[in-house]
Amino acid sequence: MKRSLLILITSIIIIIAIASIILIPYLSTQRQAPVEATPRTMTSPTIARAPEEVKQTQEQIPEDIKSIMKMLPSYYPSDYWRIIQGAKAEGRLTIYSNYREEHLKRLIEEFNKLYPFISVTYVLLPTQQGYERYLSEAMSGLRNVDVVQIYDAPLVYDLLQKNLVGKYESPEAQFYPSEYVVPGYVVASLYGPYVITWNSKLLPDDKVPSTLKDLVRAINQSPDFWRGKIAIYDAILSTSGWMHMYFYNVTYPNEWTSLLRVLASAKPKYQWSAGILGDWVGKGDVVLGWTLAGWIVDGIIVKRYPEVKFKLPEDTIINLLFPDFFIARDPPHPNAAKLWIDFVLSKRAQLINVNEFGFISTRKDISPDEVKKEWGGVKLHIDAVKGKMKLLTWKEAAVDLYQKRDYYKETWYRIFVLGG
Amino acid sequence: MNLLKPRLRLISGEILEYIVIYTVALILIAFLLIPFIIMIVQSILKDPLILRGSLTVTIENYLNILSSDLFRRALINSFIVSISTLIITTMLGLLIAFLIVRTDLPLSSIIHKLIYLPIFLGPLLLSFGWAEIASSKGSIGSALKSLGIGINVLSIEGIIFVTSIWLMPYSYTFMAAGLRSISQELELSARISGSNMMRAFIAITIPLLYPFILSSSYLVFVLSFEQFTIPMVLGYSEGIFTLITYILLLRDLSVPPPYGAIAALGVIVTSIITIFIVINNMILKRAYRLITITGRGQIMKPINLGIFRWPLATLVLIYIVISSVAPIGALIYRSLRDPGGAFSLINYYDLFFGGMDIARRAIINSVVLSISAAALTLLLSILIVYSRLWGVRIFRYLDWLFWIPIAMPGLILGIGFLWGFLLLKLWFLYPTLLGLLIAYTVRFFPTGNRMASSIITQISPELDHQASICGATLFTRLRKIIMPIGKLGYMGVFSILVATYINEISTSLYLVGPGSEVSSVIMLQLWLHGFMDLLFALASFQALMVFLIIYIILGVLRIEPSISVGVRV
Repeated sequence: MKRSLLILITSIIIIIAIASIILIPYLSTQRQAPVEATPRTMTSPTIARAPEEVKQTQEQIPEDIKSIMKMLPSYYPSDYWRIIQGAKAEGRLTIYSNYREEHLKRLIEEFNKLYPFISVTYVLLPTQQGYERYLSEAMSGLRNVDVVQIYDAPLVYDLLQKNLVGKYESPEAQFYPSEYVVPGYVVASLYGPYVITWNSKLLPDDKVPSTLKDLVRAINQSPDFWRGKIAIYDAILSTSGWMHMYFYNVTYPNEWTSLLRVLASAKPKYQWSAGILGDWVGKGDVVLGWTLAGWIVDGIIVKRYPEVKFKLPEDTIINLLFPDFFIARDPPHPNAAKLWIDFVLSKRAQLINVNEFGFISTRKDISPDEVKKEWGGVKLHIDAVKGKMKLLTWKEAAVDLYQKRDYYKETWYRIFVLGG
Repeated sequence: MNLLKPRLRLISGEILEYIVIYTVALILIAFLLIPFIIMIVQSILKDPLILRGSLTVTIENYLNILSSDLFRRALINSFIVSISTLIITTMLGLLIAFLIVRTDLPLSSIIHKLIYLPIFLGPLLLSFGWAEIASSKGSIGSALKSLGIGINVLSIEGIIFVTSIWLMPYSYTFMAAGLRSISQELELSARISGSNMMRAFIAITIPLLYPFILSSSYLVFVLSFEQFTIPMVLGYSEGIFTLITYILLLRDLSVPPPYGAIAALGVIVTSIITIFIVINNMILKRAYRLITITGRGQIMKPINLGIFRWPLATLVLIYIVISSVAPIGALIYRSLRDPGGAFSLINYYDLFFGGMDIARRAIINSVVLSISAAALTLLLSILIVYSRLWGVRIFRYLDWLFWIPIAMPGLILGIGFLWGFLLLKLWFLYPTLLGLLIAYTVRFFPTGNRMASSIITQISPELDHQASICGATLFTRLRKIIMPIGKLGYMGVFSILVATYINEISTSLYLVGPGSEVSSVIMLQLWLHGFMDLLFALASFQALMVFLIIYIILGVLRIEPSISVGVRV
C-alpha cells in the first residue's frame, strides 16, 4: 500500500516536471509572440518621424503614459511617449549584468516605480563570462538579451569593434563629458575606487599605512609582522590586479617595481575576488587588504565583519572606469531597453550608484551637496578626488591600457609569483 | 536466455512502435555525436566556429597546448590526483569491504549503508564542507589550530583527500562484491596446507580479486581524472590546476577565449581517458578467466576479530564521520549562524524570501530538472535495453557510441553542447531547461543503461515470450511485464539518478541561462564571489533534498544502492 502510493506520487511528480519543462518555454513564447510583432512595426522609425506627424498623434497619448511623461525631465524628446508605449506593449526586459544582485535589484525597483508595466529578468555574470556569453550568443544570432553591462572597458571596446553594440542616442548622454562617451553607443559613467581595508582588531588604526611608500616602510621595519598578512589581487586572473600595476607605474614611475618587490617580500596572499579577499581580512587570515574594490568592502564586508575598517589611499586612488549598460545588437525588446538605458544614465540612478553603492559618477550635473557618501572624510564626488586620482578617460581605459595589459600581468607574475 | 533467443517478428500494430523506437534512437545518436564532432572540428580550426570565423585548418592549437608550461603542470597534477586517489580508495575499499564481508564486525549492516553517503552528497558539498572545516574562522578549524593541527585542504593533498572520500564507496562496492563471490574453499585449503591467514589472503584472495580491482580502478581513475568540482573549489584559487580546471583558466586568461585551444585540450583529455579505457578492457578480458564462482553452495564463516571487534568498528565509524557527517555537519552548522555568530535562521530566510531570486529559481529548476532527467534517462534506458534484447538492430551500433559520454569529461561535454546548440541555432535548447535536460540525459545515459540492463536481464524471458505469443506488442509487453516486475529496481535506479543530477555541475556550468539556473552552478558562483552565508544555506538545503531521496531508497523502498552495476563497462 505504502509503496504503491509512493510510486503513484512519484509518477505524478515526474509527469508534472516533464510537462512543465516542455510547457514553460512554450507558454512564454506564446506570451511573447504578439508582443514581438507590434513594436517592430512601430518603434524604429519613430524618432526619425517628421514633427508634423508627431503633432498629429500627440492627442492620442494614453492617460497613463501622459502621467509618466510628466515625471520625466523636460529635455526628453516630445515623441518619447512612443518608446514608452512600445515598451509597455513589450512588457519585458532581460539584463546581463555584473553588478551585485542587491545593487541591480535596487535599480530595477526604482525603474519599476517609473515603469511598473515592465517585468525585468536578469542574469548576473562575472565580467569575463558575461562578455564571452554575450559574444557567442550575439555572433550566432541568438536574440536573448536586451541590455548588457560589462565592467571591463576593453571588453566593451572589443564588442564595439565587432559591431555587437546596439545604437541608441540617449537624451541623458549630453550630461556626460565627451571623454566618457562613445556617441550613440556607450557611456562610461562610473569610477570604482579601491580602498585600503584592515581588520581593526588585529591592526591598530594608527598603524595602517596610507600610501604604498608607508606600507613599504612598515614592511622594512617589521618584516615578520607582515609576512603572509597582506591580501592583494591576483593580476593574472583579475583586471583589478593588473590595473594596480598601472596606477603604481604612473604614480611612482621610477621606483614602482622596487616598491612592489618589497611588498612581494612580505609574501602577500592573492586572489581574484574582493569578496574572498575581504573575507580573509574579516576572518583574520590576513590583517590588511591592500586596496580592495571599495563598493564590495563597503557593501558586503563591513556589514558582515564589523571590525573591518577601510579608507581611501592618499598617494593615488586606484580606480576602474566602468562602462554603463549598453543595448544589445538586435534586442528582443528594443523599447524597454531604451527606457532602461535612459534610466540608468539619469541623475536619479546615478545618485543611487553613488550614495548607496559607493561609486563615483562622471555625470556633470551632480553637485557635491547631493553626494552623501564619504569614505574617511573624502566625498565620492569627482571634484573631491580629482587631485588624488588619475581620472582615466574612455580612450585610456578601453584602448591604451589594454595594449599594456600583458606587460603588467607579466610584471606582476615576475614580482609576486616568481619572486624576481 | 540463450536457449530462447528472441527473434524480431513484426506483429501487426508493432510497426508504429518500431518507428517510434527508431526515431528515438536516431535523436539520441544525433545528440551523442553533436558535442563530440564539434569538439574535434573546432580543435583543428584556427578561428572559432561559433564566431563565424574562416575555416582554416591548422594544428597550431595542439602545438600551443602541448608546448605550454601550464599544460605540463596541469597534466602532472591530474595524474598525481588520479593515481593517489586510485591507491587510497583501493586500499581503503578493500580494507573496509574485508571487515564488513569477512569478519564479525559489529554494526556492519548500518556501516554498509552509511558508507554510501559521500556519493549522494556529491563532490561539491564535500569540498565546501571540508573547506569550511579547515578554515581558521570555523569553530572546528580554530579548535584544531589551537591543538596544533592545522589542516590545509586548499592544496593538492586536500584535492586528493576529498576526491578519495568521495570515490571510496565505488571502490568498496566492487571489493565487497568480489569478496562475496570468491569461494572461501581455496583459502581454507591453503590454510590446511600450512599457510597463515594473512598469507592465504595475499596469495589467494587478492589475485582472485584482480578483475574487481581493475574494474574499480578503471572507474575511480576516470571519475577522478575528469573531476572538475573538487580541483575548482580547492585548487583554482591556489594556482593548482588539473587538466579540467586548466580549461577554465584558458578561458579566463585571454580575450576572446582561445576556443581552438580549449577544444584541443578537450580532445587530448578525451583521448587520455579513452586510452585508459582500452587498456583496462584488454587487461580485464584476460583477468576474467580467473572467475571462480561455481554452482556449488559456499560456506561463509566470518572471521572472529575477538578483542579488536569494537575498536575496529569505532575506526570505521570515525572514517564515516570524516567522509560524510563532518562536512555536511559543518555546512549545516554554518548555515544556522548569523554574521555575528549567533544561532539564527536568517540565512534561510534570505535564501527563500530575501533578495536572492536566482537562488530560489535555481532550487526549483534543480528539482524539476533532476527528476525529469532521471525519469527520461530511465525510460529511454529501459526502452533501449529491452528492444535490443528483442533484436532491434540499431541499438547494437549505438553501444559503441556510449564511450563518448564516458570518455568526455562533463565540462567538455557541456562546452560541446553549448557550441552545438549555438552553431545549429537550436534556440529552444539554449539557454533553456530543455537543453540542460538533453545534456544531462546524454551525460549519464551509459550509467542508466547499465543499471536498467542489470535489472532487465534478471527478468526471466518466459513471461515475455508467452505474452508475445499471445499477440502483445513490444510496448504492451514493456508496459505490462517489464515495467511492473522490475519496478522496485527501477525506483532504486531512479533515486540514484536524481541524486546524481542534483549534484551535477560540470555539464550545466556552460548551459545555464536566464531562467534556467541550477543550484549547483549558483553555489559555485556564490563560492567564487565569497557569499558564504547564502552558499551554506543553499548547500544545506540541497543536502536535505538528497537525504530525502536516500531515505526513500533505504527507508521506504528498502533497496540496496547498487551503484556498481551502473558504471561497469
